[in-house]
Amino acid sequence: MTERSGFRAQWRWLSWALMAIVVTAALIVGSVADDGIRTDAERLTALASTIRCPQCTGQSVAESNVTIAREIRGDIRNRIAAGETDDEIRQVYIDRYGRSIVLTPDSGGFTGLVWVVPVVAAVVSLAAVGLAFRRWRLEAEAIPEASDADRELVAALRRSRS
Amino acid sequence: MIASAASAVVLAVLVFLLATSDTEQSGSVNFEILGDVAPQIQGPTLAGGSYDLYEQRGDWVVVNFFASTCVGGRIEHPELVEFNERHRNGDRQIVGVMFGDTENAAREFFLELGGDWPAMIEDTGPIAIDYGVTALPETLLVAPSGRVVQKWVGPQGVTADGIDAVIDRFENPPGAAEDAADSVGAGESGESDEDAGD
Amino acid sequence: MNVALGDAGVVVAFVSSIVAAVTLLVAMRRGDAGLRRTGVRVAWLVLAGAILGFAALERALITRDFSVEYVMDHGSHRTPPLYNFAAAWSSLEGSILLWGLVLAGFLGAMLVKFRTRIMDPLVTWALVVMLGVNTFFFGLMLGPADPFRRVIVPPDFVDGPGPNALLQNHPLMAIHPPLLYLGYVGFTVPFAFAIAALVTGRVGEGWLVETRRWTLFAWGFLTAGIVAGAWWSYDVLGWGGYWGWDPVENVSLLPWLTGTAYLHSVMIQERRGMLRVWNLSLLCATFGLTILGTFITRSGVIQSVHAFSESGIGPLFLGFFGLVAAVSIGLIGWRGDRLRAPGRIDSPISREGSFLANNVIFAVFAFVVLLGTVFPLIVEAVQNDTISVGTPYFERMTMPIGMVMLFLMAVAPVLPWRKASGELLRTRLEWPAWFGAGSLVLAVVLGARGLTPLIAFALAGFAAGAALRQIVLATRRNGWRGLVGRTNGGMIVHLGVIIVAIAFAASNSYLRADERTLERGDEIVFEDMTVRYDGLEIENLDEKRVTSAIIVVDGEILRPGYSQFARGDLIATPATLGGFTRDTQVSLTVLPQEQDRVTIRITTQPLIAWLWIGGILMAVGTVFSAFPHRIHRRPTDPVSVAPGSVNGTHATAGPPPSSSSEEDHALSEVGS
Repeated sequence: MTERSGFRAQWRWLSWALMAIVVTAALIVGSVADDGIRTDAERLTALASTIRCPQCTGQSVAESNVTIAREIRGDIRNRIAAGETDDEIRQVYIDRYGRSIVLTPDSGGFTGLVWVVPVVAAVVSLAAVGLAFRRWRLEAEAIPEASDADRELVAALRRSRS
Repeated sequence: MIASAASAVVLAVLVFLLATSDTEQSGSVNFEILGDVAPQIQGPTLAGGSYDLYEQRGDWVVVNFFASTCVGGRIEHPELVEFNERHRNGDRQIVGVMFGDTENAAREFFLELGGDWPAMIEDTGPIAIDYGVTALPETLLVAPSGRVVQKWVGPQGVTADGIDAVIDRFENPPGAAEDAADSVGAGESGESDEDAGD
Repeated sequence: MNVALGDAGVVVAFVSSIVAAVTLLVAMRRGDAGLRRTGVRVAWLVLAGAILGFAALERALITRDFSVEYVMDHGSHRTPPLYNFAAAWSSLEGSILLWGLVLAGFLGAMLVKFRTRIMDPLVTWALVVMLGVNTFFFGLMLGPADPFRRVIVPPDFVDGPGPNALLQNHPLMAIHPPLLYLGYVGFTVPFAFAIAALVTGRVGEGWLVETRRWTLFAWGFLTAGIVAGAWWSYDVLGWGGYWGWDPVENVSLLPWLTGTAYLHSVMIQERRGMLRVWNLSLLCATFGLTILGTFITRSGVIQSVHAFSESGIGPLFLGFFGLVAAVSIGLIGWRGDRLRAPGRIDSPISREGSFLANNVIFAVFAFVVLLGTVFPLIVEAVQNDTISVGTPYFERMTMPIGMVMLFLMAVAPVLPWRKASGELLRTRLEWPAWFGAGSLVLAVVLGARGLTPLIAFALAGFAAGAALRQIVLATRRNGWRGLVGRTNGGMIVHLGVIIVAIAFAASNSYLRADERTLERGDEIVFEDMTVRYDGLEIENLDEKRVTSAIIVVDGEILRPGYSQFARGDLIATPATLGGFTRDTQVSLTVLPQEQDRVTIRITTQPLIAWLWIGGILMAVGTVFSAFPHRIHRRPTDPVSVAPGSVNGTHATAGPPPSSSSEEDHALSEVGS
């Protein structure tokens, strides 16, 4: 039995190792073969999704069909064709419409808190959980081993309940 | 206990925040452009001629973004007609920029409501974006120095008297600074309801 | 007539809820059984009043009684019957009435289900809380949200405007609010019991466990409501979008998140009597968030595409939210000592540990969504500046959280209670991990690229493998019964969630869109499809005029169009070419003015259909999950040490923990 389970245990380690190789290889192929070049249309969609429609609440210019949104999409398309970078195009719109035209909040200043606070919250809560586990472990270790008297008590309870 | 107190504080702050926020109207209007040099408006007009904003330096120019379909534009148009008449030979002029409309519709709009100032009809999208237009109609005032000094959203305040009053205030400010046209001063409130005329 | 009936219904409901609550409280204080029964009978009148009120509103709508202001504003002869019926909840006042009706319905269900136990103070307190919430909502209807205002019909009046056009062009829109309300309102019942347990101090019993099925019911409907909303958005909006991280969407997600966490965490309380504070907090939070959500939706405080009504009702909801929050926190703080469980979680690598981690993850998720939604208000208050927090923020923040959740979904089902060894994990997780690796390879082979979506696919496969493993083991052991019951039904729900997650990752990462102007007869190539414009089609219906363009995509005819309603609304209708692996949508960006040329928007996304399939699977899994156990547990059986008892003489119902001996278990109880 031991021999067989030893064999199985070994096989399992091999299986996991093989899996790790397969996964790594696939991820490498998948991320490297993506040469990252996006077509103009893709860039337009991606950029337009980050710019708020000035007229409509809660929609990006990629989504809204009001005149100004369509004009902005056309303008972005022209700027992409003219070779401007994403950041340059975004800056043009910030200059004209203010910071709120971009749907991604600033990462600096007070606004940057919206990025930082959740991360801090997550770290703090995980730390709290970790501390709780540590406290429990220490409590468990502080419990003395069961003595014979304890076992007698349990046995007596069992007898009385059956 | 700490957790209770902490969550109580957070929730109290949230409630306070929500209680003190205004419910504002949609689409925040922006006034980023005030104080900047007015972007160029150049191109063929409805009447068949051509127009160049930079050549109008030295005059006050009222830039009016409109579309034949928008109601506000119809409301303010007669006022612009009057303003145009008043200053036909003066240093205050109007240029219209058609936005999101067809040439025929714009032509009929002018035929119906009057007015003969130059109206831009081609490639007006980039012009609108350069001027930070959000919704129609929007009207801006360009000073003789070439800077934008006032912006009206919607037809309120866009009256012949109202525009004149604003220009007069810039030309003769209380305090007699010479370069009134360069100050952004009262431009922050988008709707000027000053007709404390004269 | 309708106004009189409606007002009567609302007044009856309002007054009865107050009277019943007071009666029950007095009866409890005096120990008077007869008075208790009277209180219950009066409570039934709340439901009667609610039904009367709702029926009156529907009658007014159906008979086009324009003397009722609500019908004057939202009714029309031209509206088709389904949408006319649904017009009852198309606007603020009617939707509050619907909320009240559902709430009264749940009250009635409580009265039926617990009729043999009304002498129990716990049940009485729960009823009182429920009646209190009823009072609030029916009180709203007597004041700012009155659907039964009378109006004089002008003599030349012809017809009303009908409901908003956006609410009339898809049947899902009719059903989306009722589904959502069944969800939101359903959470009131477990909340009432939570408060009752805190007030009476009886937090160690199985009452929260008993109401699990109610919570599951509510959760299921909330899920269905959210999915229906997403489906409607997708069909109607035209850019392939189904979730916009819009404030109103976000606030519907918040109670769903805390509710899901609760459904998991309550299993720990059932089994080991632990995490009571978490569970009570999650329940109270879920109910509180439904009220907060309603506040944000209706007050207009945060800009949203959904906000179609603004009124003075905002402050009242905010006040109610504040009350709920204060009461919940106060009670939990006060009872804190009783809530501490005698046991502890031995190891992080255990079922309990993973559920605790689950709670934390869901809490962080909810925090992120809430923070992002209200942050513009914070910035405005502090800096007097306007910023936007939109999709890019939410996607970037929730993506890692989603990955962690997928990982937990993969690992947690195989974890035993109390403690797991590395060997056990390696054994049990082997097949699920290979499933994940296989999914990853399959995705790469099919052409998926990009590190982020690939990791998501791998984790999704891993999680699906774990769920399937559980189902296969259970059906092997129990036959068809291996598909039902809490754990197995839950695994089916997990599969649904995983399918939705895959669809989300795929459709967001591989969305392709473009805008083109086509001449008639022109054929263009988009991605790998040929698209041709064949002309316009105009249809004149009773309530609208529809202009459609005939677009042929790869041989299939699509008719995206624009509908012009009599009341002036102009709504675009996209056309969708759906498929198992890919969806293509075509929509018009403007109302076409001429026959020969049209500008279209075309988008294509993979795996959109999987969103709906996953959603349906979640619903099916929920139903399976509610299947009764073979061993029927009596809810009054305590499942944990009763508070205050030291010697640990207690009975546990249900099978003993699987990976520790009974003796160890008993010894550890004695030792504490």
